Amino acid sequence: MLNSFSKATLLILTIFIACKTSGQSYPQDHPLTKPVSLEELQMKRYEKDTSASAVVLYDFGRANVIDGYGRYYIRYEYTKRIKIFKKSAYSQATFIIPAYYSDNDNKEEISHVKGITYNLEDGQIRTYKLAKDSKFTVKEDFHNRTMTITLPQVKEGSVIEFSYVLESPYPYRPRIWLFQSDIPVMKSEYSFESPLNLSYRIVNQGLSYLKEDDINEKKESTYYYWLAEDVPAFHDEPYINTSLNYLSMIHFELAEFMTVGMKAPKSFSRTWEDFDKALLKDKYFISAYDSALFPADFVKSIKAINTTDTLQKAKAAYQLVRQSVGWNGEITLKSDYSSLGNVISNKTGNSAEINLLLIGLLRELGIAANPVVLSTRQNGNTWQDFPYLSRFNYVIAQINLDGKNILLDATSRHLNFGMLPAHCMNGSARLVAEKNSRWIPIETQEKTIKVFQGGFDINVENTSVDGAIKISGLGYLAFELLESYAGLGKPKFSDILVKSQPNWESPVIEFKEFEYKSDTLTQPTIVIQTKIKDAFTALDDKIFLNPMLTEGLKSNPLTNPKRNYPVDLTYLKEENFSVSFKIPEGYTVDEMPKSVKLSMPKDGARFSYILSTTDGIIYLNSKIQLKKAIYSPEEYPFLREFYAQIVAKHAEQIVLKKK
Amino acid sequence: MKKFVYSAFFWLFCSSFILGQVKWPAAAIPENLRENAHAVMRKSETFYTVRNSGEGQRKVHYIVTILDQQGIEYSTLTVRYDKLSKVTNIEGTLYNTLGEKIKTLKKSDISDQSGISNTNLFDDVRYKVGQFNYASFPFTVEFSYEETDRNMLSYESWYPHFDSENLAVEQDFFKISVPASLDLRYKELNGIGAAVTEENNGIKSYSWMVKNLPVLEKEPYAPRKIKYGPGVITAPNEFEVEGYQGKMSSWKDLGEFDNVLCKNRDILPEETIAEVKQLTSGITDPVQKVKKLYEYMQNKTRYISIQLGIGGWQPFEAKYVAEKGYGDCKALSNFMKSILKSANIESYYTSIQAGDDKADILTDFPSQQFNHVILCVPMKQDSIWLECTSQTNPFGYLSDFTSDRHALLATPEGGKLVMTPGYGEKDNLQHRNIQVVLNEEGDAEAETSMLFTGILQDDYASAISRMNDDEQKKFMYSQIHIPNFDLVKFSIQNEKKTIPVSKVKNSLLIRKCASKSGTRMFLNPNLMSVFNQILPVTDKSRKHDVELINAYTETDSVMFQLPAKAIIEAQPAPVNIETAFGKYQSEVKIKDQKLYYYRKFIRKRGIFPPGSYAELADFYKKISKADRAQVVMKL
Repeated sequence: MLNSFSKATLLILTIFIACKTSGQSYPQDHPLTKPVSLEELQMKRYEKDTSASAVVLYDFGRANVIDGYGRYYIRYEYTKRIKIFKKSAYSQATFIIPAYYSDNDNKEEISHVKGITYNLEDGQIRTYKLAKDSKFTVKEDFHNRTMTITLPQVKEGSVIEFSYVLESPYPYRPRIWLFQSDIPVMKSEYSFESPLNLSYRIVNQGLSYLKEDDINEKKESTYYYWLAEDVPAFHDEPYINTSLNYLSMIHFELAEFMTVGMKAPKSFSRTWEDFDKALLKDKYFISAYDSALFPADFVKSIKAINTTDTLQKAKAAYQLVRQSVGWNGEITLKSDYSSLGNVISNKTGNSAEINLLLIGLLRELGIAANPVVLSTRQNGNTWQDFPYLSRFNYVIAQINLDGKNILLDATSRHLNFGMLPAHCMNGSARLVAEKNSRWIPIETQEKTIKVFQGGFDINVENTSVDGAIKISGLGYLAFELLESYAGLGKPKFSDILVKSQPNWESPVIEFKEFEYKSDTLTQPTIVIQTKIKDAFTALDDKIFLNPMLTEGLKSNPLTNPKRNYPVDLTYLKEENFSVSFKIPEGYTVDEMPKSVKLSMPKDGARFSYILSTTDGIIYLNSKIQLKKAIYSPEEYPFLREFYAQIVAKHAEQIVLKKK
Repeated sequence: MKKFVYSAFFWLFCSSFILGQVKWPAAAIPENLRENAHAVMRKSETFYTVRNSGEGQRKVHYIVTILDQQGIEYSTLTVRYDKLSKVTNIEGTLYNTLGEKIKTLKKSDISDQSGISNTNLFDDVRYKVGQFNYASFPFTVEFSYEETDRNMLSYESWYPHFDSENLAVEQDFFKISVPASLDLRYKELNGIGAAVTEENNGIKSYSWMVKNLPVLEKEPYAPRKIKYGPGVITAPNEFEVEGYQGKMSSWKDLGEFDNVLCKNRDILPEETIAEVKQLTSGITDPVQKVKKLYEYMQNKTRYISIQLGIGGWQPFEAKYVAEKGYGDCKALSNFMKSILKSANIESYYTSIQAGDDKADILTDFPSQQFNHVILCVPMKQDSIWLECTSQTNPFGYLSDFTSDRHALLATPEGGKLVMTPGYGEKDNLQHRNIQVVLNEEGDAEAETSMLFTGILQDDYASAISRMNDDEQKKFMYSQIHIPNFDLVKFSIQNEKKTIPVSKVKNSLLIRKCASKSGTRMFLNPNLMSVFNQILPVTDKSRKHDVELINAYTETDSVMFQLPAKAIIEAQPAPVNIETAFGKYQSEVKIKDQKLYYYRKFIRKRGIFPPGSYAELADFYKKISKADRAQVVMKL
C-alpha cells in the first residue's frame, strides 16, 4: 500500500563505481589558507536566499584512512566558514564536536581546534581568536565525550571560521558528511581517501546539488571527492516521516578488508548474503535465545503449550511472550544480553529482546520463524541496493501460515496477531534466514478508523440535542485508544474525554471493550448519554443546526500552500460520522445542505456527505477516506483542496422552520 | 474471589514472614493511596546536617513502590552533584511484588552522566544514576546515598508531594540539624505540620513528618505558590562558599553578599571606556544616555551561559565580557553596570526569580530564591530596568519573564527588596481592524490591520528577531484561526518602546468565510478573535483560589461589505457581561449593506476565592458562545 514511488523521487541514490578515474586535480592544501576577504565581510545577504540569517560560505572536510602499522584509523579534518547576517544566527557560533570513547587505547581524539571571528571595524578587518578557556570538554557519559566551543565577539556581519582534527580508531563506519544544514551552504567540499586494501561502500543521498564527484585510483589509495554548491537550507515540514530521508549527505561503511597473508578479503556486509550471515552469527541477535538458560517457570509455560494446530501454537507463543516481558520503550536491533534468560527474569526488555524471544520460542515450538529487520520511521529509509547494517534498528518476527506471511511484534499486548505498530511502517524490511533471505513489503491492511454514531432529539427549550453517542475505534485507532486507556487509567482517560467536550451536559459515559481481556484487538467503544448544549441557534421561528455538531473538520490541517516533501500519514485513514435528528414537534425542514460525493484524482481519497429525511427524522452520513498513506508533493495541492472542501461542507447548516 | 485473593496474600505474607525476607509487599499499600497514583513512596527519610557554615551533609533513604509503567521513572535513582558536592555510599535493593528481595544495586548499575542544562553552554552539574532493569508491576525499590555539600548558600528544601500528579506518599520524614551557634531559619508552607525541635550537645534539630498523602488532583488556574504542595524551606543565617563569607538573616545581608561577589569585577578595558565616552558625549538626558549604552551593550554581546562552582553565583569580570563578547545574566548585568559606572551612572545588580509561570518569592523569608539577574538603574522618577541577556529586547521592557514581582537590589547600602513594574490591561493590548468584502459564494477578501502591545506583542517581536521570511509566514499562518484561507501578503513591524508595539498587516483570501447552504449564508462576524478557553467543570468542590496571571484588552472592529442581494434574516443580539474577572461586549450593526462587528474583552488579573471558579467558568463559557454567534443571510 505504501507509495514507494513518491519516496524514490526525492531520494536519489548512487554508488560510485571503483574503476572511474579522472585526471582532475583536487585541493591538497588546506583550503582556507586564503584569508577572509573584504567582500565576504561586506556581504549583506545571500542572494539565492535573501531571508537567510546566516550562510555557510565554505564547508570543508577531509577524511584519510591511515594504516598505523596494522591498526587502521581515520584522520578527519574539518573547516567551516560562516557569514552571520542576523542576531538570530548567533547560535551558529557555538560548535559541539562529539567523540566516542571505548577505553584509553580506543578513543576518538580531538585536536588542532581553532576558531577565529573576523569583524569589519572602522573599515579594518579585525580578528579575534578562540581562547583556551572557551573550549569545554564534557564527559556526557562513559562512552560519549563532547567538546563545546564558542567564538568570541560575534556580531551581525561577522565571518566566523572554525576548524579541528579528529582521529578515530573506528574505520568501520566513517562519519557521514552533510551537505545541507539549517542555513544555506554556498560551497561544501568533502574528500575521502583510503588504502587500496580497504574498500568502502558509499551512498550519496540528495544529489541534485552536487557539482563534482570523482574517484581517483592512486598508487596506494582510493581518493573520492565531492563538491556541492548553493545547497538550500533544510526546513522541516509537518507530516514528514523524518528529515533524514531528505537531507543531502554521504554515508560510508567498510565493505571489505584485505591484508598480506589473507587468501580472500574479509568482508563486512559487502553483499546482502554477508549481511544476513553476520546477523545470524551475532551473539546478541537470535543466538541469544538459549532456553537452557531460561528461568524454570518460563520453561514450564513453554511446555504447557500443547496444541498441535500451528496457528494456535503461534498465538500461544505470541501471548506468552507478551505476558512475560513488558517493553521498556527502547527501539533496538539487538539484545543487550547474550542470553535472553536475563530479559525473562527482568520481566522487561527492549524491542529486539522481546521479538527475538518470540522468534526463538516459535522455533522451539517447531514453527519456522525468521527475524525480519527494518528501519523504523524515525530512523529513516533503508537502501535495498546497499547492505548497511547501520541503517537497521529494529527486528520483528515472520512466520508463514498456509502460504501467507505473518509479521509479529510482541512489544504491546494490545496489538492484534499479525498487526505491527506504527513505527514499523517504513516501506520494506529484510527477512533474514539461513536460506532464501529476501525483501518483504511492510504493508498493513489495517487502517485507522473512527466511527461516530448518534441519535438525537432536538430539545428546543434547552437549545440542546439530547441522545446517545457511540464512538468506536477500529484498527490502529482501536490500538491507540486501548494503549492510552491502559496507560492513563480509566479516571484520567474519562476526564480528558469530558474536558474535550465542554458542551456535554452531565454525560453518562460507559467504556465498552476497553479492559484487556484476550490476545485479539477488541473494538473499544465509548457510549455516552448526554445533552449537547448550544448545538444549534434558535432564532424567532427557526432553528439553525450544524448536523456535524462538534465533530466537523474545523480547519484545514494543511495550511501551507506549498510543499517540498511528501505528506506521510503512516496508514490509511477513515472517518465515519452518522447521526440522526428527530425533527421537533411543530417544525419542518426549510432548507438542507446538498449531499455531495467527491474524490481526489485517481481515487486517492474520497469524501461523501449524504443528508436525507424520512418519517420526520434527518439522517446524515459523512465519510472521509484517505486511501493512501503517503501523498507526494505533486498530489499535495489536491489533498489540500480536498480538505478545504470538507471543511466548507462540514460548516453547512440545516434550517428548520415552525410550521 | 476477593476472599481468595486476600487469603492468598495472607498466606504468602506469613510464609515469607517466617523466612524473614519480606519487607515491602505492594499489597500493604492502602487503597486510598493507589487511586490515580503511578508510584507510592512507602517511606522516605532525609537527614540534613549542617556541619559548619561551609559544609553540610545530606543522607537520603527511601523506598518506593512502582505501580505501573507510568511510574517507572521512580525506579531510577538520580542524584545531582557538582563541583561543590560529592556523592557517596549509593545503595539500592530491588523487591518484587510480594516484597521479596531480588537483587542489590551493583557498581556497574550506577552510571555517571553530564547534566548540562539546555540553556547553558557549559556547567559542572552531573548525575549519578542507579537503575534496575526490571518491570514486573508492582515492584519496589529501596535507595540510599550520602552527599556532602559545600554550596551553603541554600540548605535543603523539602516537598514530599513535589510530584503530586503521579506519586502518593505513605510516609516522609525530614530532619535538619545545625550547630546551635549558627541556628536555622525555616518556613513551613502550604499547611505542613509544625516542626518537632530538640537540642543536644550544642546541636539543634528540627524535624517534620507527613503520612498518607494521596495523589493530588491538579486544579486549573490554581495559584502558582501552591504548586509544590506542603513543604519546608530552610536557610542559613551565615554561610561560606569557596572562601566567600556571607549572611542572610535579612535581605540587606543577602544583597551585601552580592556586593562582595561583584567586588572589583567592574574594571573595563581602556578601549571600552573610550567608546562609552564617545557614545555619550553630547547627550545630557540621563535616560537617553542609559538607552544609548544599553543598545551598545546589546550590539556588543550575546548570551552564553557558563556555570562553574562559585561561578553559579558570581559574575565573570567585566573585562572578560569585553574580550569575549558574551556572558550569562550575571556577567552581562555586571558588564552593563560597569559601562554605566564609567559614564558616572549608578545602577544596581538585581537578583530575581524569572519565568512567566513562577510564583513570587517569599518576601518574609530572606533566602536565595532567585534564578536570574537583571539591572536596575535608579532615576529621578521611575527606575529603568534592563534585561541584559537579550540582543533585541526593547530598552526598559521586562516582559512577563521578570515583570510584576519582587527583586533584590544590591545597593551600596546592602540588599533592598523592591517590586518590578507590572503590565496591566492598558499595557497589554490587541486591536484588530478588519475590512472584508464578501461575495455571494461566501468567499471573501480581507484586509487586516492589527496592533499588539506589551506581553501580547512578544511572539511577534520574537518572530521578527528570530525568524526569516519563510518562517515568519508559517508563524502568521499559525496565528490566524480561520478554517480555509491563503495569506496573500503580510507585514510585521516592531516599535521598541518601554511598552513595545507590534503592527501586523495581512491580506487574506478566505474560502467559505460564510458557509452557504441552499439560499442561505451563515457568517460568524467574529473573524479572528474567537475565545477558546473553556474551563472544565466538575462536581468536586474547588479547593484552591483562582489565580489569573495576566491582564489584557482585546478589541475587534470588523466591517463586512455584504453581497448586494443578501438580506439579513437573523443576527445576534448585543452581549454585555461584566464580572470580577473582566468585561465583555459584542455587537452587530447593519447599515447600507455593510455589517459592522464590534467586540471588546478586558481580562483582569488577580487572586479570587475558590468559590469564584464556577463564575469564571460561566463567564468564559458565555464569551465562547457569544464569540460563535452567527448572522444568517438570505440571498
